Amino acid sequence: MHRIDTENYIERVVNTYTDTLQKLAFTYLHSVADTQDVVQEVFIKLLVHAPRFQDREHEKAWLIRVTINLCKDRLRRADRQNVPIEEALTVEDGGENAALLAEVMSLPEKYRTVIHLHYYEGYTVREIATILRKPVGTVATCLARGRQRLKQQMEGDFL
Amino acid sequence: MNKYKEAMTTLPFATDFNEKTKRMLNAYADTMSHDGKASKPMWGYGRVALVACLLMVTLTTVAFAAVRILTPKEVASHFGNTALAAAFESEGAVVMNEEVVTGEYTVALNGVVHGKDIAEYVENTSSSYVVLSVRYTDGRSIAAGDTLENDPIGRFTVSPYVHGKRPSEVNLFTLESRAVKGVIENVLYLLLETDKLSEFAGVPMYLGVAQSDTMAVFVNDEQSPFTLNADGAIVPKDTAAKELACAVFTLPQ
Repeated sequence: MHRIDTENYIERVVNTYTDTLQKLAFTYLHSVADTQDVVQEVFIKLLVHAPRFQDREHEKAWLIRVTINLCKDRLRRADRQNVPIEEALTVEDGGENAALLAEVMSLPEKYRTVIHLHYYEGYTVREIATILRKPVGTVATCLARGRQRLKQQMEGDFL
Repeated sequence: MNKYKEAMTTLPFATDFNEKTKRMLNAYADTMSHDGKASKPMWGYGRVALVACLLMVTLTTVAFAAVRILTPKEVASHFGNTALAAAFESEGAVVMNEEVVTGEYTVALNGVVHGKDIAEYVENTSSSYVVLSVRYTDGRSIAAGDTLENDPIGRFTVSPYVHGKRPSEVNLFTLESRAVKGVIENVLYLLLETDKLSEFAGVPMYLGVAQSDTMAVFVNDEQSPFTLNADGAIVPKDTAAKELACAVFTLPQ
C-alpha cells in the first residue's frame, strides 16, 4: 500500500467525520468516553472493511449506520453502567444546554436519531430515510412526534 | 444555528481526539499485512477494497487435510525474509511450538528471536520477531480464495503486552508492532515484528492472540479479552473464552 495515500485518507476521514459521528454516538451512549471509543472503532472498521463508495454521501451514510449499530451493541452489554443523563452531561454553560440535551436524549431512540440527524446534521426527511434505510413516511412521523414530545416537555422555542 | 445544535457543540470532547485517532489508525494500518509489492492506493471510491492480505494460499481438495506446521525458518522464508529465516536457525532463536486450544482453533507460539541476539542477521537489533500459527483443531481446510476474508480464521491477530501494564497502556500500537499473516498449507501464520520491547527488559512480556473484527479489542480495556490478574500478569478474562477465541503466551526473553 502507498503509505502517503493511507495517511491522506485517514487524515480526510477523521477530519471530515469525527464531529458527525461523535455527536450521533453521544445521543445513544450519553457518555463522552464511550462515544470516543465507538468513534475510533468505526474508523477501524472503515479501514478493515474498506467498502467501495459511490460518493461522499454514500460514505457518510455508511459511517452513520455503522456508528448506530456499534452504539446499539454497546448498549446491549449487560455490564454497562447506566449513568443518569444529567450526570453524564457536563456542558460548559450548565443549565439550559444541559437541560435541552437531556430532554432530547430522553426521547425514544427512533425519535431522537431523526431529531438529531435533522437538527444537527441538517438532513431532510428523505435523506434521513435513505441513510437509515427506512420509509420516508416513517421518518416523517418520527420527526413530527419527536418535536411534539419536546414541545410538551419544554417551554419556549427549543429548536 | 438552532438551540439543539448549539447545545451539542458544547459537549466536552477531548480536543486532541482527532490527532490521537489518526495516530492510532496509522499505526493500525502499518500492522496490516502486505504483499511486498508496490501497490496502487487502496482507499477511496471505485478502488480495490483493502483486505487482510494473503501472501500465499495452497488450495486443497481434501476436506480434512493432514496439517504440517512449518518451522519458524520456513515461515520467515515464505514471507520473503531470508535474513530472519537464517536467524531462526541460529543459537539466539527459541523454537517452542507451545499450543493452546481455544474454541475450534489451535493457536501456537512457534518461535521467537530477539534482535539483540541475532545482530549479525538483522539491522534493527531492538526488534523482536515472533512466529505464531493458527489452525482448525479438527484439521479442516481453510476456505479457498485469494483473501483471508473468506474464512473466519483470517480475523486472528496478535498484540504484545507487558506485565503490570493494562492492554490500553502497552499494546501493539504503543510498541509499534507490525504483523504479516498468510495461509500456508492450511495453517494461518503470523509473523510479528515489534520494537521497544527492550524498554521493558527484565519484565515479563506476553503475546495476546485473539479473533476479532476490530483492532479495538487490543487497545480498549473494556473490549479486550485480556486483563491483568492480581499478580500483574496478562490473562484472558473469565468471559473471554465464551465470546471469542483467544490465547495468551508468555514471551521468552
